[in-house]
Amino acid sequence: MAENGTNGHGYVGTRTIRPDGVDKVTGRARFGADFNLPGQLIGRVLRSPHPHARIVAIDTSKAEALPGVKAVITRDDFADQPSEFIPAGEMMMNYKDVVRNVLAREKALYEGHAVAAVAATSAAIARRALKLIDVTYEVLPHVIDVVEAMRPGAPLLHDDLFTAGVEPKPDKPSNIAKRVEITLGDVDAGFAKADVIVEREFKTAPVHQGYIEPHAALATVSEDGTAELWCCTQGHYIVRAHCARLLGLDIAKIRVTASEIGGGFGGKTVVYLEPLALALSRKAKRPVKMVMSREEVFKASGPTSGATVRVKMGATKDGKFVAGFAELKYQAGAFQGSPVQPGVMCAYAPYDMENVKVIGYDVVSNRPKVAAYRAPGAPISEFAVESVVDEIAKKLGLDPIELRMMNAAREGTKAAYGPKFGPIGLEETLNSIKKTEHWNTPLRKWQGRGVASGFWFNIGGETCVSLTVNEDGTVSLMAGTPDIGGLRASLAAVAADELGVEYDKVRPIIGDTGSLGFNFLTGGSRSAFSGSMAIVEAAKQIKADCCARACKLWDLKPEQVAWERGRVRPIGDAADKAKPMSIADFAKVAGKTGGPIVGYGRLNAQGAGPSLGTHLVDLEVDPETGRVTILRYTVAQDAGKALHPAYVEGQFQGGAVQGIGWALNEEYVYGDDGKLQNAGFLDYRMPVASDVPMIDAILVEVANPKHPYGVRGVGETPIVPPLGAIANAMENATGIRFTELPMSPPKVLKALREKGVTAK
Amino acid sequence: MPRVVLVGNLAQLTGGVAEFQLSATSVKQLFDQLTALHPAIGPHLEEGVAVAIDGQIYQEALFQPIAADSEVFLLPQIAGGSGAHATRHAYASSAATAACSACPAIQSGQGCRRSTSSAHTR
Repeated sequence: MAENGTNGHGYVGTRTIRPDGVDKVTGRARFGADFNLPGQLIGRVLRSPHPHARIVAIDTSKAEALPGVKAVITRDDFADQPSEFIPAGEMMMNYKDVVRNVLAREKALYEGHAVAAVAATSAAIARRALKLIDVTYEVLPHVIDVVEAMRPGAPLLHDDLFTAGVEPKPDKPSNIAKRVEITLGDVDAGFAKADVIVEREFKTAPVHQGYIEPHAALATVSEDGTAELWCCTQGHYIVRAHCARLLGLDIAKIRVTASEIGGGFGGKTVVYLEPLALALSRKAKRPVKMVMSREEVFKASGPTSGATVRVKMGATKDGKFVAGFAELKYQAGAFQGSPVQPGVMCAYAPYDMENVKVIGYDVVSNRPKVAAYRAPGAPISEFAVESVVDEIAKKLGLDPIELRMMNAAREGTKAAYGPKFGPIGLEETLNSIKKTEHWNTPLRKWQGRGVASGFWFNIGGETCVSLTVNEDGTVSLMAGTPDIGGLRASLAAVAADELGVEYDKVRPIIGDTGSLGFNFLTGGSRSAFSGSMAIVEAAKQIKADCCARACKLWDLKPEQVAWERGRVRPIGDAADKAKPMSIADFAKVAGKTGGPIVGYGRLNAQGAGPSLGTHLVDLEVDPETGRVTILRYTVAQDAGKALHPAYVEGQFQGGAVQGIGWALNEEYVYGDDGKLQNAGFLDYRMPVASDVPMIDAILVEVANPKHPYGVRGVGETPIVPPLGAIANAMENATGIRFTELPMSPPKVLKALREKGVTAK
Repeated sequence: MPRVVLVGNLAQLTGGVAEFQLSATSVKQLFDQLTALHPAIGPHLEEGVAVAIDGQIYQEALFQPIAADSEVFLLPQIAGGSGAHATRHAYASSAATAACSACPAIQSGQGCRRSTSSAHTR
C-alpha cells in the first residue's frame, strides 16, 4: 500500500468544538462525586489532630457497635509493604510510605493524616462513628520548616531515614532523605572569570494545586474479589496498580473508570481515598462512596514543596553567563520524595552555560506528603535563577530580554544536566515578546514590568488508543488517559485528518482500564503528544486494512492502490478501474470484506521535545495596602505544533494564573502548634477571574522533529516563568528585590515601609 | 565506541567513574555492559534512568539503537517515568528485593539508591 500524505480535512491546528463542551455547560458531565450505586454506603476518614504523634492504640469497638456502621478500617486492614522506590505518577514513590500515607501505622506524621475510616448507611452516622473511635496518641515534638528540619537535633520523623548521596555515609538518621547534585564544567573557574557576581537566598511557600474538584471515589467489591472503582484521577491505570498492590488483588480483578476531572495539575496522580473505599467495600460487602471536604484536600493531599534556594551567578561585563551555582532545599512533606531532582536539573536549563553546579536536598517535615504540581520542582529553582538573571541585567545596564537572548539555550547547546538540545524555541519566544506592543507600552509610577523564561523537559510514555469504524462510517476513538486539557478534541482532530472523515463524525471517549492496554497517566505534558502518535499508528492500520480490502474488491495488486486525500484510490495504470472509496464506503461493506475495521495504536512514545517559554507581566503596587494588581500579561511559548490552538492557549493562560497565585498570595500558614490555619479557599487566597486580566498567548511553533505533527507538550512550562517575571516586575515597580514568596500585601507593605517609600 | 557519561549521583555506584567508552549498540547492551563492570549500578539501571542519545532523551527503551559515534548520558528519570514499570515492578517485588539486597549501598548501611538518586533507606 502506498500512503501519500494524510490528506484529511485539515482539522489539526484549528479551533474545533470540544467534544465534552455541551455536557460540561449543561451539567451532564459526571465528575468524581457524581457516581452512585444502589445500596451504597458513605465513607469518612478519621484524621490526626496532631502534627506528630505515636499511635499507641486504636479502639474501634464503639464505632463498630453503632447501628448503621457497616465497616471500620485501620492500619491493621492493610498489609505492610517493603521499602521499594518506583517511578509512579510524576514523581518517585515508595510503597512503604504509600501504605503509611493512606492510613497511618506507627505514627501520625502531619495534622490531617488519615488514621481510620468508616463506612455507614449515612454521612451523619459515619461522622458519629468517627467520634467513637478511640485513638491513643503519644504526642511528639514537630517540625514544619525545611531549614529547621535539617538542623541537628530537629524532631525526627523517621528513625530509619539516613541521608543518601553523601560521603561519608551517615551513621545517624536525619530528616534529610537525600542529597543530589549535577555538575557541568568548573564553577570556581567560571566565577574567577566573572566581572559581576550576584548571590541571593530565596524562600518559596508550599502551594496547593488548587483543583476545584475534591478527591472522590466510589468502590464496589464483590464476594469473588473482583472490584470496580470510579474516581477522579489523572491516571486510572496507575490507581488500579496501586490499589491492587495495597489490597493484595490481581490487577485484572480491578476495573477503574476515570470520571471527568475538575482539575488535577499533578495532584491527582497518587491515591488517597481509593484504597480506603475498596477496603471498606470489601469489608462491608456493599458499595462505598467517599468524597473529601475542601479542608481535607488542603490538609491531606498535595501540595508542592516550599523551599529555600541559594543562587550565585557570574557574568562577564558584556553579559555572558560564566558560572551558576545553586543550593536547593525542598520540603518533601511527611515522606521523602520532593521534586528536588527536576528542580536541580531545570534550574539553569534555559541557558547556555559552561560551568554549573546545583545541589539539592530532599527534606521531610510534619506536613502532608507533597504531590506533583505542574513542572514539579522547576518553578521554584527557576524563580530564583530568573530573579538573579534580572539583577545581573541591571548591574550591567543591559536589556533583560537581550541578556537572556545572548545566553539562551538553542539547538546544539549542552544542557546543564548533560545532553545537547535538539531544536528548541527559547529565542523565538524572547523575540516574540520583544516585538509585542505590550513590551513597549509606557508605565506609570508604582507600576512595573517583568520578564522571565522557563523550561520543562516533557515526556512520552506508554500509550494505547483504539479507532473503531462504525457501521455508518463514523469513528469511535478510545483513549486511556484522562482528558484534562483538551485531549479528546486534539485526538479527534488528528483521527479525522488521518482517516479523511469529518471531525464531528469522530467520537472520542476515555475508556476504563478494561478497555485498552496499559496507559501511563496524564502528566508530564504527555497525553496529547503520545496520544496523537498512537492515533497516527492506529489510523495507519485502518488505512492498510482498507487498502487490502480494496485490492480484493477491485482485483488489483497492492502497488495499484494507495491512500490519497482521505480515500483509497486505484493509481497508475489502474486509476480508472474503480471509484475511490472512503472510510464510510468501507464501513458499508465491512462485514462482507473481512469484518470490523479497527485500528489499535500502542507504543512507548519517545522523542518528547522540551518546551520553553517567556512571560511578560505588568503590575501595579498599591503603596498604602501592599496589594499588587496584575495589569497585563503575555505568554509566549513553543508548542512545537498546536493541535488545538485554543486548548494550547488555555494551558498557557492557566499556568500563568496559577503562577500568579504562587507568586502573590498562596501559602500554607502553620501555627506554632503545627496545625494548618488556612485550609479553605476563604483563607488560602487563589486568584479568581476578577483578579487577572486577559492573558495574551503567543503560540511559537518550532516543530519537534520526533513527532509526526511536530508536537511538544505544553501543560507544564507555563507555570515556570510567572514567579520570576512577577518578582522582576515588583523590583521595577518598587525598587525592592523580593526574595520570599508569596509577595502578599503584608510582606509588600512591610518592605515598602522598611525602605521608607510609604508611611509607617 | 559511544561515549557514555553518568550524570548526578549515579557515579557513586561506579566508584566515582563518570565516563566510559563502551561498545554497546543498544540501550540494553549498554546497561548489560555497565552492570558487568559495576554490579551495584544494575538494579538502578533496571528500575529507571533516562538515556539521552545524541541529545534525545529515551525512557524505558531497551532496544533503542546507539551508534558508534554517539554521545550517551544516563540521567535521573525525567518526571513521569513509567507507570507500567511501577506496576510491573510492584508485582516482581521478590526479585527486586533480592537485587536490592545485593546492592553494596544496602550492605554498607546507607541504603539502596533505587531509581537513580531517589534514595530509599529503609
